[in-house]
Amino acid sequence: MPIATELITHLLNGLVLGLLYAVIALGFMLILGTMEVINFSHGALFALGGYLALALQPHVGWWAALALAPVGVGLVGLLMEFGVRRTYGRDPLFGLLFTFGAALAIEELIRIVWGSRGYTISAPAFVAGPFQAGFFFYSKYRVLVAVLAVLLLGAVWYFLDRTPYGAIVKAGAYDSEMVRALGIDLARVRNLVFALGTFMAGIAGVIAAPMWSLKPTIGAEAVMPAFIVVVIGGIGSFWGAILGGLMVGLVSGLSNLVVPRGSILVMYLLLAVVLLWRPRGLMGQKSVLEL
Amino acid sequence: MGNRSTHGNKGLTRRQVLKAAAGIGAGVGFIGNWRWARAQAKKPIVIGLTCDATGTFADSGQAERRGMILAIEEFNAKGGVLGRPIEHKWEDTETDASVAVRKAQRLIERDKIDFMMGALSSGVAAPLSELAQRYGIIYFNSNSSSDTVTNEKCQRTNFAWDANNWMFAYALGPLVAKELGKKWFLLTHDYVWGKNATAVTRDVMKKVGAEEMGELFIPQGARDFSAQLLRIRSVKPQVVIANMAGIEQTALREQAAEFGAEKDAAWVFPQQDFPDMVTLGPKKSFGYFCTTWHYTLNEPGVKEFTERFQKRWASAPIPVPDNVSCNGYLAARELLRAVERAGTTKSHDVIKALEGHVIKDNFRKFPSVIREWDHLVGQMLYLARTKKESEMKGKYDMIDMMSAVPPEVASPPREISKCKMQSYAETPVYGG
Repeated sequence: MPIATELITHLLNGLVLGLLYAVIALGFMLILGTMEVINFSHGALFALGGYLALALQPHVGWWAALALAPVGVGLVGLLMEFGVRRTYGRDPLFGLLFTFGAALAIEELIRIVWGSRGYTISAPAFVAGPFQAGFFFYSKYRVLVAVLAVLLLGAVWYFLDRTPYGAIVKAGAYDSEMVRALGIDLARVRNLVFALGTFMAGIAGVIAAPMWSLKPTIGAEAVMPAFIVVVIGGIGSFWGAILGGLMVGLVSGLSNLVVPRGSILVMYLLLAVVLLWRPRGLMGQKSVLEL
Repeated sequence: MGNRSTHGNKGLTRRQVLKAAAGIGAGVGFIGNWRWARAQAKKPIVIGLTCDATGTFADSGQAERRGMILAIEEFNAKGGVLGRPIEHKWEDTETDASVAVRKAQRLIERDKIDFMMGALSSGVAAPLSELAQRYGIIYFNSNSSSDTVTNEKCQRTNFAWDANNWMFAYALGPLVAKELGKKWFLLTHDYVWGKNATAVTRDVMKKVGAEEMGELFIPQGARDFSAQLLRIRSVKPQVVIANMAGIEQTALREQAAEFGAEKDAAWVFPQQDFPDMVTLGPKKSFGYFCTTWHYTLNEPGVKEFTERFQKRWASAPIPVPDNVSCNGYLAARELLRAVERAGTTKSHDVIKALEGHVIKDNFRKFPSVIREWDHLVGQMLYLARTKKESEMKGKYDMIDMMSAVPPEVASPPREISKCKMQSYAETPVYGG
């Protein structure tokens, strides 16, 4: 494999990883940006998505599991929001503590239902194995991951930017009193945004499971890069989350080519460099993290 | 004076009082001792099981535990050992050294266990064996395979039941070089066992004249192996020696199938635990490997042991005995037999009963021996590959034992041992 082909393959790998991080981060950011709640349970919900798909897949197939498992996670999010809403407008620590408790509870629930052992998940049969074009080869499943991630990000962008509901969500985040004064039921909007954010965590969990395998603590490993992505991109910025995700993915993909052991370290280095240069992240606004 | 004499005649004399007191004292003492002796006779022998149920070795940890429990129950069915029933107390060591040490300490200090056994990860087994030595409690390292625990870090109280890296590498190396090629690429699990396995592999490479094409470290807990698989494809080795274990190994194989990397080179997994193969299934368990045992072996006692195991663990995730659960069973059985031979649970006496002991009914062709100088259980090894689905006679009939290596060939010779074991005087006496 010539070096250029190897470089391209590693970059492609970083791109896929980055898009997946962006999906995880966007769900996290939606909740943080709209409700100013640092949803610590985002990782646990990501894991729950993977586990629900693991349970559903043998019965309904991969596509149906991809649709149903995140809906299940979204419902959990919907219910969680009834607890979280009591923390709105208060010290962000309350929301953090509530979701931290929820994260522990969900992880323990996973242990009770599926046990503590790990599961490796096969890619669906229609994208099993690699494709090859001359020197270039790549995993079919990862291409599917990239396509699904782009579709999801596109759908969220469309929802936030092109629909009246998106406008309400953004307005609610900007000036909640005015939105209420206009007669909009903000509590319901927030409830649905929380469900949407957790839905994103769930769907990312389903997509990532064949790449990362499943274990009860996988959520903690996913939420940390997501948090880094959000901070790099800037709180409240849709394009920031995508830019941050791609940067983290590409930097760790490239480091795999040069210093494979440093692929985690470079994420933190990137975070440090970006924050030194722009303390609010690349495209961020003033946020709860500055309180 | 007169008063005293009159008083003495009417009541008890001082001598009588003393006699009565002595008699009562002796009686109470006797009853107390008798009760104590009875209580001791009935007091259970408690074995602490330090088996993982979380992390890299969750599956194998529970498999070894099933083997241990079966042996303990078989002894209890025969009336226990030295007239005492045997109990077991389990802690999930979570494939984490600090968790394992904390829980082992709790077993020793709070639960007052008499013996301790269980380990898959060498990163867990090494600190547990050091802890055990400090207390003087006998610890059976049932399934970890780094040679350091029977080499420079050997302990008087520690016994290693699994074959080790040296054995696996030296058994496989010559065959791999001859049959599969001499351009080798190394994948090293980034902890004590993996590093040790790669160090031994390099020794073997010198011996067989193999060339090293590169090495990549795999951190514990890593899940995405695409970068490593891409590197292997670009380097084009003939052989990949994957010194990886547990869930990371299964995840790597899963992704190798995703990238088609199983066809890029001949894959060799020097150490292969059966529970990981079950997780993968026959299609993805590609490559060559070494193992110590499988229930399909046609050797004395295997059939009966397998039947007993299947009866006891019919609903277990892996309802047949494998290399891990067989090690667990033999370790627990031999510990209890050694207690019987020693006639006590006192650690020094039990260690003496174990050292040099030959295990004939080990479900293999040649007996195993508990080596006196390093406490390694010298045993047979099998070179193996995964069967194709068409060759399998049942769901768990996955292993084709290609050839067997007898214990004297498979075990590291004493001349190369770096083990300087503590004397008995330096080892605290525990229990009894």
